[in-house]
Amino acid sequence: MTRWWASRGRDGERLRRLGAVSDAALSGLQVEDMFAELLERTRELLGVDTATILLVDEAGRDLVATAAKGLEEEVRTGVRVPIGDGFAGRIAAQAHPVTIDHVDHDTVVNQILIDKHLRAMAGVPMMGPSGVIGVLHVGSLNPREFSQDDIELLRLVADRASLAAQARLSQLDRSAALALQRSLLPARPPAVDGLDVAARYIPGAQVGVGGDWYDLFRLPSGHVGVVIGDIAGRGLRAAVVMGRIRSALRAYALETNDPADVLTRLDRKMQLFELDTMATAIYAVIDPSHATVTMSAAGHLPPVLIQGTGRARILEICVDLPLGAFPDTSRRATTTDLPPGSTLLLYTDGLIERRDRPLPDGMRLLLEHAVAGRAEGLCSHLATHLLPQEGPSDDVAFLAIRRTDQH
Amino acid sequence: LTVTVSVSTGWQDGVGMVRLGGELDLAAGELVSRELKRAITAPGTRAVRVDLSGLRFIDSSGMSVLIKGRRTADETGVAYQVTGATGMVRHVLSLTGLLEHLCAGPPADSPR
Repeated sequence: MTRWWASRGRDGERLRRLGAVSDAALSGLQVEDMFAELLERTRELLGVDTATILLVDEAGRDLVATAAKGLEEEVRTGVRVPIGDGFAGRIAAQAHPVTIDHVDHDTVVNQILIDKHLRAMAGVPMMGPSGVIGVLHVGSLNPREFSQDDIELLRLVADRASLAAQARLSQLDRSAALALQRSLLPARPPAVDGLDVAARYIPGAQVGVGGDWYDLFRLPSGHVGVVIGDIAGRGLRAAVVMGRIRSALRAYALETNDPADVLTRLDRKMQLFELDTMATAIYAVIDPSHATVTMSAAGHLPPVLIQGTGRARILEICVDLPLGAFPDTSRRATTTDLPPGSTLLLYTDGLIERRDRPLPDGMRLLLEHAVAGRAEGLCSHLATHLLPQEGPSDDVAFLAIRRTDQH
Repeated sequence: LTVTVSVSTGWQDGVGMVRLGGELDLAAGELVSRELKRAITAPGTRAVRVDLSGLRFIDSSGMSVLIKGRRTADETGVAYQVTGATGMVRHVLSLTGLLEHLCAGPPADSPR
């Protein structure tokens, strides 16, 4: 904004007109309509024939024509320009304005620009917080030399368009991630006779939805599978990966009742198909009589066992490396008794880790508030007493399973 | 998201020393990942030590950054060692089974 006003000189009037349009558009219009408005106004102000916005695709390899005036076929035909190639590709690669005074196969790769008989072009990069997110360019059917003022104006338009594009992305990302997370993590886990189950998922105040998840399912053998996990990362990507990993774990759970075996298979799948994804998790299998629980931990914080009397302790179980960390990690399982009336509590790091507090204090607090009684009551109690008033900065998931049968 | 990590890298006799300070969390992940990769893949690097003595906080995404570093080092044939974990950081790494693995010296034949 500072630059916007600071550069109001003899071009003040045209900048003001552009500013008015984009401010109104930013507040009300959809981003597509805003791009259209911005491009139309740019075309008028600069007296050019075409104006186009291309955005960098998800893979970060190509520019994709997203909005255009005077070159609508670029968008209609889905023009893609590899970053580094041609006119727009060069602007993106150099993150610097480029002007050309002739349009032919030496200067552009996009045939549409040549067919259109454009004579001169100017373009600027659209910058996001971590680099180029797109390119804005204009073209003239008449010979023309673009001035420094023209480039400055294009930069201002590009700044506005960048803000809108990012706002839309993060908004889409947030709402999609939340919807996905909600659909995958039912607020009320399925009822299993003899077990009282409750769970919580709370998105982080700063990071929004992350990759934390829990799961509970009854297996055909009568065993009950219980999962808590945390995929490194956040937003839509973490939520999507979480969905895949959750499904894969369920599929492997159908094949064996050994939790170490299930996590070994899941790890192998991740090494192959989820490159660069790391997750911590505990997979626990409660036997059909509910008398014991067998757990395999992958880099995850240890569970808590609360006895019917209210005494709580951290379970000392073997912990192996996180999923997706290293190929061929050997995994172990630990079996613990689950006495009638006792509760198994699984949680992610956000429940006890704080920047301003040593970890042992967090664990002590967790044990203090790990009260016996109904699972739902325990979850409410923990949410009230362990999470910061302003909400957790990281996302948090926890799951409580109390054994209610007496034999 | 506020980045509250500090990173500094120095070399001596082909050994890169990456010193981390502050908080290694989601916000810091990308920056530290890049720096570790740069240190590991720098020409002439034989080994990289990651010094955590200035680190006050680590979360699960921070752990994944340290593990990714180890994996890059293994793939590049560079020795990788994490040192100096104290307090909360040491506690978390030990509870999650990573202390032994990351603080071991040159890459062992088996991951554990």
